[in-house]
Amino acid sequence: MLTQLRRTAPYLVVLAIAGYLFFLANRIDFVAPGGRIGPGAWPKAILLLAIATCAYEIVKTWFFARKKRDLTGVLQSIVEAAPVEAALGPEQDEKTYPHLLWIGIAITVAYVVLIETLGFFLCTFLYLAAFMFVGRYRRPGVVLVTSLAGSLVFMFVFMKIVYVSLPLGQGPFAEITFLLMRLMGIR
Amino acid sequence: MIDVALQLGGGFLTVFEPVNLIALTVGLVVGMLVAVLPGLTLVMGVVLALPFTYGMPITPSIILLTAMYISGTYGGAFTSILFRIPGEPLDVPLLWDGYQMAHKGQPAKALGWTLFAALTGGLVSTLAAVAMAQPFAKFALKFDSPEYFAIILFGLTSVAALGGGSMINAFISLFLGLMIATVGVDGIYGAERFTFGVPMLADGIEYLTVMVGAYGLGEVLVRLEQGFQTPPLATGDRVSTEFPSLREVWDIKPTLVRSSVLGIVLGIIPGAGATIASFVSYGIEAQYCKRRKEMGSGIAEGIVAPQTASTATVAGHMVPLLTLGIPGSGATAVILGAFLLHGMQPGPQVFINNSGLVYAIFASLLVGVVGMCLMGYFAIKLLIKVLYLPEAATSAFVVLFCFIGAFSARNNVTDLWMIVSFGIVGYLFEKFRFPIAPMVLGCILGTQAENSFMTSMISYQNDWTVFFTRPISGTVMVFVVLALVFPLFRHLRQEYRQRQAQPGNG
Repeated sequence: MLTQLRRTAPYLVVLAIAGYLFFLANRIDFVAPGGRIGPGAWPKAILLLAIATCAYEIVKTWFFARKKRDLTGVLQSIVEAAPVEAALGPEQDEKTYPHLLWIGIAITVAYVVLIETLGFFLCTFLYLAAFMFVGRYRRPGVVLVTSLAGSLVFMFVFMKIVYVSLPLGQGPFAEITFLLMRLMGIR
Repeated sequence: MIDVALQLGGGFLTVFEPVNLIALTVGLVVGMLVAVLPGLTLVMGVVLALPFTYGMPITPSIILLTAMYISGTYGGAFTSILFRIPGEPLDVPLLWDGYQMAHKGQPAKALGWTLFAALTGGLVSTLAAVAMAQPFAKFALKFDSPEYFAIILFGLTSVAALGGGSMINAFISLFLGLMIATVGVDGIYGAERFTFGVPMLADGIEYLTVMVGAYGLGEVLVRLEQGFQTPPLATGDRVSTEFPSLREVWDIKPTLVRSSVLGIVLGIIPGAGATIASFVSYGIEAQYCKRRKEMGSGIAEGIVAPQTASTATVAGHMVPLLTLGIPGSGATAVILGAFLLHGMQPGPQVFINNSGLVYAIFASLLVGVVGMCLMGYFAIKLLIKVLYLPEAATSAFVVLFCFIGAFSARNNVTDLWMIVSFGIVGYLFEKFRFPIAPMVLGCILGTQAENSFMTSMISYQNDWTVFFTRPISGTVMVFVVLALVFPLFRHLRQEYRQRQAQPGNG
């Protein structure tokens, strides 16, 4: 039962979201001449199809899991028939590192939160260094130089050449950005 | 015909303008590097290059992206053949005969066959696309909103029905993309939909953030969870290319013809991209070529078929993209995005309003195919050095490119949140085996699909049968139904056979 619940979890989530959006679609305010279909018609049609598709998969998994195979695209059989395993040789290491993923997501979220305070240069420098470290690259000198050079090059290219308005930062952090901009000749 | 040749000549003159030639060269190099690096996919590379084109005129922008696309179908062949590392999923079939041939002591010959196949597939398919595009567009000029809706619907359904993996998951991905496209103020009534009181959502969700997040950040998160484990390289020194002789080429001409035609056809049909073409072409050779029993042991047919077909799909994809405005793959969806960002909508009018650009794109494909082969012959030893870059570093820069892409679009930090959100969605899609391409295509084509549907409904007094009763839209709708019913029929037949094969069923 737990396996089935795990297998159907994505479909249950999509089903719940689609149901909620369908409820919202019924409450869209609009003014239209009589007899015309409104702006909710198209999203409701899509949501109904999504609900039906999820319901099919959930019912199939819960009640016919042992009997039914997955309904696949028409070209899948050719892909399946191909000798991939034989060509790739011995099985690759399938070890995963969920903690790295969580830390990676956390520092990425932190980047977005802090970029307006720290400014593009500082935030990017810290992010690049942190990401490489989290990604199990353990050569501190290379990490620092790459992060520093990368941040400076990106800042120069996008602010001086491509004219993208990157965040400058606030307070003392903005002063660092302004100093670098002066050194790079960015106005 | 002469008119087409003259316009193509004009296209060559445009391509050889310095700025366009630089864009082409940069596109070829970057496309090849992206294809060589196992952590980066071809579509991801094209997505990440998109922000750099904002400040460029439209011609070099499209040339840059198409050059990346075409060289991306070729670059990964080197790592497949030499190191048994497929740079892209489309390079997997090259492991079977390409790597085997290299393993038997003929790596230069294997690389020579790959180069020859990419050159043939690219040139033949581009010339075929040049010949087909104008008649295609002329025919499409007859289309009204019901025909457009039917064609877009066919494109969207075939993306889900043709691809590999679960069709149910592909459809859910597609519906999600279509729903993302409905967020914001609707084009007909001006009503706000699914904005949840967030002002920024009233402008809709930028499909760029969906693409960049799902393809870029999503893939990086997947690799991070795997600990960035790139297999160690055996050696990088035995890189040279030996061309096949004319006699050898003559012997495999049926393979060349079959694979080129297959590549073009699968390119034109939305949904069946370079990867599918590569696998299908190999599968067909395994059934029909003269030496089919030797397939997998390192023969030329097993290298030529997948490489020719995958490169041939690129020009095939350009036909519906340019003449109907319908992208058939992730990479062409990005190229369509570039067109739209530069204020141009590809479609049947393209030969009337922008024929110069269209022929410049075709000319750039022809020049690009030759250029990538020259690059493959002379510079590959240098290009594959990127394999020595630590994946953690390249991935960190990929994420940075994603963020800068979002900044370049609207200068708004909210878009960074969108990228992070769609990055996590992309990761979850990979984890639960939902394909990303249908979501991206749904997101890009959703607005067009809704507009043509609503316009048809208003024009024909809510009569939905109009999609089936008009000759062209009716015919296309038959294909839509077939695309939906055929996989179901095939599935039921497999189930039936499986039941029959079980012991006790006679």
